[in-house]
Amino acid sequence: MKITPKIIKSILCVIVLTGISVSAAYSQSQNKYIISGIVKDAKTGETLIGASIVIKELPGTGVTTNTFGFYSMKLPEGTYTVSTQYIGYESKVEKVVLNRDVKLDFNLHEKANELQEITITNSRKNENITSVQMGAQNLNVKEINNIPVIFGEKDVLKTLQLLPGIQPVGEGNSGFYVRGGASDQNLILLDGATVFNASHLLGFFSVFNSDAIKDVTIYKGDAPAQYGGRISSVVDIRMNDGNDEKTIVSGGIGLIDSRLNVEGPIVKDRGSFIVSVRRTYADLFLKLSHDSITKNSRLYFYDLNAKANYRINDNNRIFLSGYLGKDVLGISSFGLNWGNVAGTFRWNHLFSQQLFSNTSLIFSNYKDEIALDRNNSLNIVSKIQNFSLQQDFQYYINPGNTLKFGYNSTYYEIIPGALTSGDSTFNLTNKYCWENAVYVSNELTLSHKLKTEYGLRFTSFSIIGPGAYYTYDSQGNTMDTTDYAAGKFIKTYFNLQPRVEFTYLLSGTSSVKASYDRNIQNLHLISNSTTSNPTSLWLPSSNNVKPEIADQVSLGYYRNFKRNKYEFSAEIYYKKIQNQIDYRNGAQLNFNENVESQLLYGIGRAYGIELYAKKNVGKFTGWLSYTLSRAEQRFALINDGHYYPSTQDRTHDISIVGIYKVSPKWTLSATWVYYTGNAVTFPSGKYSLDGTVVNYYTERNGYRMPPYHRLDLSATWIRKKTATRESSWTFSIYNAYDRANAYTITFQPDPNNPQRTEAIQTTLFKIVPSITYNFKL
Amino acid sequence: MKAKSRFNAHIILIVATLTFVTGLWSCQKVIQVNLNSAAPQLVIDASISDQPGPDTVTLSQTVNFNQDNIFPPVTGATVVISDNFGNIDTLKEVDPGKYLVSKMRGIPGRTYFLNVNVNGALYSATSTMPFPVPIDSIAVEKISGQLISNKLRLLISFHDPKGIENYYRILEKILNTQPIDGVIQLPTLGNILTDRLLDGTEINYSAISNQPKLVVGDTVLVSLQSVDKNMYNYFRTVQQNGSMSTTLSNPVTNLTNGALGYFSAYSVRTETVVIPDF
Repeated sequence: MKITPKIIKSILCVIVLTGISVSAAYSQSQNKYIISGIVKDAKTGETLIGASIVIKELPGTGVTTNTFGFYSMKLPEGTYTVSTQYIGYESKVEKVVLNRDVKLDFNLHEKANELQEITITNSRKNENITSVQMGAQNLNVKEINNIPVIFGEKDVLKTLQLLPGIQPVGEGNSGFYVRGGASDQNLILLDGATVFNASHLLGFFSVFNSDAIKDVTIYKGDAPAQYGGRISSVVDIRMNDGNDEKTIVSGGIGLIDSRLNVEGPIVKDRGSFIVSVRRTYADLFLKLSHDSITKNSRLYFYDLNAKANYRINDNNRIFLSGYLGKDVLGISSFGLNWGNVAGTFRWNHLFSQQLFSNTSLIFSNYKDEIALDRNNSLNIVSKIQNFSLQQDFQYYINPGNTLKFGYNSTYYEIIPGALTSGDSTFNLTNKYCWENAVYVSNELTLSHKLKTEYGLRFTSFSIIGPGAYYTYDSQGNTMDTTDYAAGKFIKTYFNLQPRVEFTYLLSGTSSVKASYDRNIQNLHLISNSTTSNPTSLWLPSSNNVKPEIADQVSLGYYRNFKRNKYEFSAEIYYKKIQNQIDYRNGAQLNFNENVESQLLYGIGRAYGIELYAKKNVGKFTGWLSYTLSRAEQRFALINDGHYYPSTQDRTHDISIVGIYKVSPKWTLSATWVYYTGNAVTFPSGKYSLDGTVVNYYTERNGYRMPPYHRLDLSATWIRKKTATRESSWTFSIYNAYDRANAYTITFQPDPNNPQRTEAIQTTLFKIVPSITYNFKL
Repeated sequence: MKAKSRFNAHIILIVATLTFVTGLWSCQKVIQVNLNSAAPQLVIDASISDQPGPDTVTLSQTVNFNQDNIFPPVTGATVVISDNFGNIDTLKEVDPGKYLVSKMRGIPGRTYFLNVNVNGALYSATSTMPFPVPIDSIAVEKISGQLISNKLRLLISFHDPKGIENYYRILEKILNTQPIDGVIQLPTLGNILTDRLLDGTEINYSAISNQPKLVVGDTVLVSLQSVDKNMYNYFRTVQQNGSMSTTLSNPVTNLTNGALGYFSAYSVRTETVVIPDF
């Protein structure tokens, strides 16, 4: 379809008009008033995201709080019983006489002891059934505290990998694949700022210190229209706002690192701050070594999260949040360090009780630096950074009709490689890009049983001079070079991204949902390594590289049992990807001005079924997830142009998570994961060359790594818990049955027998016990 | 300007770090992998140099990975090397699968053509011989640290000619007739280097990987080959095959018709060094 501005205009008109006409239909009869407010944690003042607000007198009428804890609904004049619910908190009920606009804030108390919850209050959350959103999973960070992890370091990205359709890149790695997409196809946002590399220590830890995190939501492709830029998923991570009631110091001491967290009011009930720091100290032990190289090695990472917010008045609130993290590795004369810096300034403003506005100014930067430093220094820096303005409006027309619209403008600067050696410098062409997006979406209740959300995002992506741009022939040889002046638009791509979802309630406890969405990706991570590599390069769409386009359809069935005590869901999806990127055989991706000549463009497809069963309450909680899936791609120059499995193709993927509260003091938990090995390339033969043996390959990704499975165990002992103080010990065992999982398999000459070759399997982590002490003052 | 080593040195660093960080928990073992069998393919190992050879062309076949390293020679082929000055040499098969260059000596600057006919199937390749670059000096360095198994290594110095693209292949060979201290020397394909970022400078090259383990008293022959760009790409992609790459493949060859191996016209300068007792 050729997209003209006229078509866009008409589509936007239709969406806006639908919203308005439905609102008009609702507001004919009697007087209507607005009830709105904020839902907060009574003890800490943290706003609660996704709390549901229900009107008892109007069954089926309800809204949930947005990412700032705000809700709003327009109702006919009357007297109502308004109740709010949130997982892990006591419900609260208020009587309201609605004969004018009402502001109603809720302060919810955490459940004192979930063990006493033998009978379940009549209407537990059944958001999973009724919400129109599908393919989404929300993690409340408090919920993940008991899940065992390697080195006892809680990690939101690793916990996400236990959910259906989300699979780890590899052993102990925070990188992940969503529904057959590559790991660079996930948009990871920290308070709205893009995190370009979410890995510490080559992937063993994510950059997210869970002490600083409030809420994590992942959208497996069906993300709302306000998100854009990646084709597989969006992970929206929100930082804590900080306690606005009293100052709290908390922290933890582990084998690998320690954490400290300070939060408190700036002005009581009006503003608060939070600062969280974390640092590893493996390098301190290196100093004890007698070996001079080991002794002088550097190996650590740290990160700092800070946030402050201030409520100017009922209609205005401002936030400032920042992240700073860095990894430093150095052995002998080599050094490698990398890190992200991100900052967000936000302004929440209520234009009216129905129109919520969020304005964000966002900065994000990722930089890595390689230093080879002995007699003379040689240093290579690469960097990506962006400045972004995001404006979001949420218009609460009535409880069954919400309109969201806004725009985003982002400027990118990419330094692919700048080399300095002594006095001389050598630079690859820097890239400058400007991305713009407008979106509108409408969530609409069509009847008691049928809900829809549909929307449209329109984006433009331009690559701008100055710089040299190349054209290549089919073999990757340079055909032509053009030098562009500063500010010159070299290439612009326009794309329309429609999406639509339907939810049909079969009963109060079951529903079916269907969705279609299209997503576009204009930044592509160039890496042919099977592990997380901090020096991988972000490459923008250009005259050679086209935007990756993914179309996904999905269908789901959702059913809750025993008054929402148990949840079950089944989702199937089919995804088609255009302009997928892979690499030529033997591609040279390091510090290469002509890196685009090393790329191949093809198509991809991914499909699968995801089953998920969860027990929400009681002494024993947990979930079971199973994914059966396939991810394949096709490139003219690879495997004779046939479809072949993507690296991230996993046939089976199982996760089982169980948490058992033995007593108020003791909690035991276990996770077990199993997945099919990655598709890999192994040699089928060998030959002799210059007296050495060289492997002979017949096809790409024609083999499989062995299946991966692992059991982790954890026990948490709360030593002391008072209203203000808390201390606990967590003991955990990673890979409890000592499975030797394959990290790599390499093929090489047998050192003991020159007539033979052998396959060597490297296992990264066998059994790893750990202990962590956590405290709160 | 002094600069060392290749730019993918950070990969070595990463691997070293991984090994180091996880040394406590990680392990390696030999496993059995069920690999497919592959139809035998022709392998051409052909080169011509500017030195008195003997230069040979070896024709053999691939075998399945699980078989012994006995590679069937391809006999009875017609192998012809010619240059852009009209010289032609039809090679004589001196051993099964081994064809000897007898009438020709490579001259830098000339372009060479290889034509092979195996039972009617034709294979060809072209390679231009670069001008040789002499080795200025070889220093022996002592290094310490548990992470590096070699305690000694060579620092090879030479001047890169300015204004032209140079590609080097560096080979080290221990000439002792008997291994000293029982150390076995495994054959290697050597290391490669481009002057892409070092044009016209004094290059001090220290080979970190692929190097035989050196001990005091060894006599080491260092060869500095000047190879063409295709050969550089060939050896670059051979080396990638050891890494954790998603694009493992046969090296990029200059041979046509699906043959494995390469045809290289190279010039070479050599030096020897005796490892001193420090």
